[in-house]
Amino acid sequence: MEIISWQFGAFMLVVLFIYYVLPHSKQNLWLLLASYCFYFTHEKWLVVLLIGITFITFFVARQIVAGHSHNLKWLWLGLGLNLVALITFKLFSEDYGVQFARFLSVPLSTKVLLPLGLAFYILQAISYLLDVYHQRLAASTSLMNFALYMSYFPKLVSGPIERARVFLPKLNRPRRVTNETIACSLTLILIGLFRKIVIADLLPYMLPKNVVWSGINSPYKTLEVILWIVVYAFMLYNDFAGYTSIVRGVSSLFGIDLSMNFQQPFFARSLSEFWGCWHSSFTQWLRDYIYFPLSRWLLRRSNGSRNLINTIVPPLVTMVASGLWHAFTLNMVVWGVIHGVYLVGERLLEAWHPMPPQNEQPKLQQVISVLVVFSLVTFAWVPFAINILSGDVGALSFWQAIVIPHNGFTAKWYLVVMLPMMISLWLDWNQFQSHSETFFLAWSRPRQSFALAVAVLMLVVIGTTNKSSVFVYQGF
Amino acid sequence: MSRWWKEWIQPETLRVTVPFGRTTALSVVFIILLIGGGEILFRIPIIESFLPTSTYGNGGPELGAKIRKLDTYIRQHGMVDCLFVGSSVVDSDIDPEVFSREFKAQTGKDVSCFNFALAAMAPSSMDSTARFLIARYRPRVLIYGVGIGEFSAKFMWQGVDLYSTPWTQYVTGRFSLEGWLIENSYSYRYFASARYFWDFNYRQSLGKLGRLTSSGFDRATIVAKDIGDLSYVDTEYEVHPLAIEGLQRFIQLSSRETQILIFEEPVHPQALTTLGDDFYMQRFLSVLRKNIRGPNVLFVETQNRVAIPANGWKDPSHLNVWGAEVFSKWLSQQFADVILQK
Repeated sequence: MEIISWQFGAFMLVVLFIYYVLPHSKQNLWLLLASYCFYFTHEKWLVVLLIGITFITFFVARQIVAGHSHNLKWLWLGLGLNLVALITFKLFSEDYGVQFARFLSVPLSTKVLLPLGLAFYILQAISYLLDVYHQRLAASTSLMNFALYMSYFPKLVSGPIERARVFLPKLNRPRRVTNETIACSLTLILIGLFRKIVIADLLPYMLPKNVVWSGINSPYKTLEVILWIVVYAFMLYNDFAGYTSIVRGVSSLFGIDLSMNFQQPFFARSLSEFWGCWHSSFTQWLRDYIYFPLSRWLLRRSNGSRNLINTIVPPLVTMVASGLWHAFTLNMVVWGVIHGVYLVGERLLEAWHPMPPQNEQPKLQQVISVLVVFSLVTFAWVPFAINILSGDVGALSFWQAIVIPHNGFTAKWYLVVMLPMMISLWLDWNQFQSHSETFFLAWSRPRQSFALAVAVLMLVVIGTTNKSSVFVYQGF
Repeated sequence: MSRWWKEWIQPETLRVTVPFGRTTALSVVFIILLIGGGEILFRIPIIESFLPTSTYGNGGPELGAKIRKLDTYIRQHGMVDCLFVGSSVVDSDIDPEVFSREFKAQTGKDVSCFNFALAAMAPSSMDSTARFLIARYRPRVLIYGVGIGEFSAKFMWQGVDLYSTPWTQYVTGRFSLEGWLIENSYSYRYFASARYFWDFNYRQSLGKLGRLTSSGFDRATIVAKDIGDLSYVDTEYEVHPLAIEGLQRFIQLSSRETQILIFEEPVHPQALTTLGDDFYMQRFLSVLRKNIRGPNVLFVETQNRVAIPANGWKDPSHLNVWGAEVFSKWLSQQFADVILQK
């Protein structure tokens, strides 16, 4: 069942009702059963894969701490099995997967569907094993709680990627859901639905369908193509941020808080800050398990001295890994390389011309930085978009549509597309200023109620016709 | 047993205190006020004139645009005597004002006419649209333009039932809640239309509707440079049986209250040369002649009988404003003796 569906709403009501009635000691078991049931509705028997990964990871972690002298080998075994599962499914879910299977003499007639949430729960398993190995976390003694950490249904589809050392203690504590918790939860859910249905799902309808796919003979103007890319950036952001907001609200109703994943990334003043604000649970994973270890290793090799290799390699490798995690395609590698080059460039610039901390810079400079970062990030979405929408799209025709100048711009058709983007920026600005996602709750009651009324009407009007599309990150 | 109960039923998580839900309750009040406010405001003509055309539930703006213009026309003229119906060809071929002027010149009588043709209107669904027009507007004459392209299988499959909506069904006697809401609630009608407004193609369609005159005529000013082939017509062409069935259902709507007149939509002669005059006669016109029969039903053939000027074509099957002037005048002369004679 999809998260935005009547079936999920009914599912939630049943799960919540029983959850609230059960004592704390039974709640985790109930959540685990509900999570497997949720996953089964999506993936049927691939729930066995999730359970298998869970068992293997739990067992391997127990072996790592069992004091055996081969605990590094157990670590490699655990990491290897998880990575093999991830890489295998990623490879064979691509268009070239069938040819690759034939090359390996594997009987495969069509590409496989990527199991839901695989890339997310595998990262959680890997982080758990590494944390246990490095003694940042004690291996869980409760298989049930560990299984719940791996399969907790609000975050199962597309994260946030939770760390076991943060999440597992929450499962051990009694939970309380008060009036404020419910108000916060429902506000998060409403904001998420609004971002997804009213902004993300609506934006693609506002532009001609084939703005960027017409290539060299495109009837569309260069500005129209550029506008499409900007619209895509807003669409992707609101799609994923909307999902995160909904699942955080859903989880909060159980008294379990999930990590924030987005913190107004379009207001970032540097690329580093952008990655701290965009899909931050994944960024932190990359930082802790790829970037820092690689940086430390390179520093050790160079006897602690900073050099060009130490500056270039870690961010580039990290971002390429990020690209590959999304998909094993050339477009995603290009996307990763672009962002890697951005980060390297930023580092070199900082080394060459150190700047004061961003908060101490003049406001105008900060605004210019925001616009520059937004432009660079938006440009980098092009290969990402090509990968997502690949279907019948030719990458070359996409670039031709942008690069070959077609002058002129019929602005009147596109003014209305500014409206959802302005609403998105207004939401972000208020969240940014108030340092709170649920800034509405600080408003007076009449103002809150009016905003709720308008939001509900818009959701009903727009949501009842446009069938909500699947979340973009569900495909990773 | 009671121990089992105590072990499994211990509500300790949910700690909700009353009062609870005041914000939600107040928002319900606001929703009612917003809907009610819309109900009042959208009925004010000057405000309604600024709103995008409502769709009446079919996802396309032309039906709503024509209804709005026709309602305005009736407010200005008191009634509508004749309605032109058909596809986009009739939309651009018939200027009701020219038709009415010529009719008055011929007969000395006034006749109020409106062009209610709709793009992609297929013959198989013409009767249901006509039924709703008769039920709602009680015209004395329905004049239907038929063309070779619309009777093809290719056109049929793309144009079927665009205009059969819960609302048109409601107006013709088949009750549905959505039909009732669209008919009676302006808030519902415009909120429902708001869903479509975001679509780029829909907004472009709205822009094209700016060409419509107050009598529903699509005032096209393009002059065709090259006359190409007819759309939906090739050497395999045959009149589709469903199109004929639709035409016959339409003819059966003829009554003492509503007269049915049918005319052949002209086609550029050059477009027929590759197919040949015999092709047109055998595959299309003779089929129409055989099937357009009935009391008080008149069929006027036009091909090669009206001198459309060379600059009067928008494309092989559609006239522009200059061609429409000539054709509308000529058609009025053909119908002058039969319209409003009772």
